Amino acid sequence: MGSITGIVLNTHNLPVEDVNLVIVAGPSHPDIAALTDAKGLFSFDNLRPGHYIIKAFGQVASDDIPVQVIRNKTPFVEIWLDLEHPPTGDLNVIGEEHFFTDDSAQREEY
Amino acid sequence: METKFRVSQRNGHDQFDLPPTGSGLMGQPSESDAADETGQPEVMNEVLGKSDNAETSGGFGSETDTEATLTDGHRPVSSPTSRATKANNEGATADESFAEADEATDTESQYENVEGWQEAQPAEASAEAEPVVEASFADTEAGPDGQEFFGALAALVLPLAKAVLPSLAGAAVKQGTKLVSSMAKPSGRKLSPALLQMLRQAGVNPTIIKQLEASAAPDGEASADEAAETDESAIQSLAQQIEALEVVIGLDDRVRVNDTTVVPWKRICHLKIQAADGKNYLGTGFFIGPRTILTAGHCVYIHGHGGWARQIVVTPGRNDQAEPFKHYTSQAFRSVQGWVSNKSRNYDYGVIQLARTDSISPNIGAFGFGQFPDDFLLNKRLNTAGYPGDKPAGTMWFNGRKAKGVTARTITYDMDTAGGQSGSPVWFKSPDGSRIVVGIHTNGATSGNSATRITKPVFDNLKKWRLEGGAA
Repeated sequence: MGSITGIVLNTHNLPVEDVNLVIVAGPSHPDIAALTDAKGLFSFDNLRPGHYIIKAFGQVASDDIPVQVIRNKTPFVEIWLDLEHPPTGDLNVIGEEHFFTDDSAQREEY
Repeated sequence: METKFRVSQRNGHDQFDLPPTGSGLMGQPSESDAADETGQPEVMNEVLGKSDNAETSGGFGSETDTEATLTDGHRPVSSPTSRATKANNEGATADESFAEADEATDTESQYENVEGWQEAQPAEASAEAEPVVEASFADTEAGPDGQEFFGALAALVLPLAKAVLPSLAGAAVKQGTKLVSSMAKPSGRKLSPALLQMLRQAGVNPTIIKQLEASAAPDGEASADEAAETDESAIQSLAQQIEALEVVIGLDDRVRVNDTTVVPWKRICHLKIQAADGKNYLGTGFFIGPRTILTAGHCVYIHGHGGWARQIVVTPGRNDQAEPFKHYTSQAFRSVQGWVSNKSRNYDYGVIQLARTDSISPNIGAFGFGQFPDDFLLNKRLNTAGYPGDKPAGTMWFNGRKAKGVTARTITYDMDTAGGQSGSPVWFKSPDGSRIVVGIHTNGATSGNSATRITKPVFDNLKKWRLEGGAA
């Protein structure tokens, strides 16, 4: 059986606590979520050798991260989450308006 | 913005490992009693909270009086006050027979009624998945010589991709294009027997495989070495894609449980687990008695992190930040030798005992549980709910589907789960409305997510533990 260990850091290389780490794909594994500690560290154990995909879920979610577990090796995964620039998506929104002023209603069109 | 990450392989164990600890006899779990474990059904009825409307009869005193003859593997082990170091040995793996679900219709069991959820088709074939495949193909540049091969390959990959792609919407879909591209480029190659065998095992239509073989006949120009190398690469890549078919299987049709204060949701607990070495994990558990929470063995005894958990914070019916039934911290756990000593997935179950001094709401009640034959389990509509780590913190999510297979000690299904749902109940709802747990969700897997099955020895241990936890 193997393990995956790692650390979650912000863009200033500081550890990020209380980030959920989840195995989203891979061979049969305990379906438990790992939480980062004060040092940003996490680990999964009792993993069969094989290809896994892990993902971090904090204030922002990471991309899928492929990790290979090899017998007698322990992969160490360093993940940098950009907490300062959470993704906003490609949203184009015009906000709700409850009323229009007389000025806007009477605005001339050019 | 793409996540920056780096993976490095290190030798041996990391610096966080502590010697596993535990207590009790360290015998090897017996595999000889598998037949006994799935014999005549036995059921412990659901227990209603004091304020619940009666949907079914039942009570803590309604259990059968059969006493267990425990095997070594199911021998109970308690979290000790003093911990002994034990050898680190792998659990036995049983060569179990596997019963698969057929199309038999049941079933009087019902799915839970959760707003926004409806049963998905078994294969979860997505109407949206196919265009994704086609779009990937459209982006692939196959040389003129590769067209015929690619055409056949497309026909071959499509059925696989239908199953694979929905769950690979992230990284794997991107890889899928590369995979098809890499397989398409070496035109006129003969496919290796290994690849063909793998495709047969994957259930690909034999006609398609024949078509593929014919289309990929060697043209005499392709280098044999190159062909072999690319085949191996393609096999490995495709195997990885297929292997990644798990956890959330097909489309993710989990739905959030918005009102966790009613039956059965209030009986399901968010677990924050602190391992003996200080590492933290998230899991799920559920009430089977007044103070007894059933969960996965790996939630209470964590191999590689000091064994028995230092403490677990149990929050029944947690809903985001709301704790409608407060939370309780426990340091008293039970599991069995097959998990504690042998790490055997077949024995992955345990309980958390809350303290007598904890004032737990009598309104919570408890799930019933029981052991049932294969056919019975395969025909039931199964439900599961828990606290997945890929969703907003502390939110409960539901899914339901029939089992796809059973072994002597496990139940396999395509119900979607994610890390954090270890220890979730897997239950059916009877026509009379009672909920009976038949398994404890523990694993995500390529062949389906799975639960530790409640067999006779499991049933007997649970009976014992719930009595210990204050059941009448």
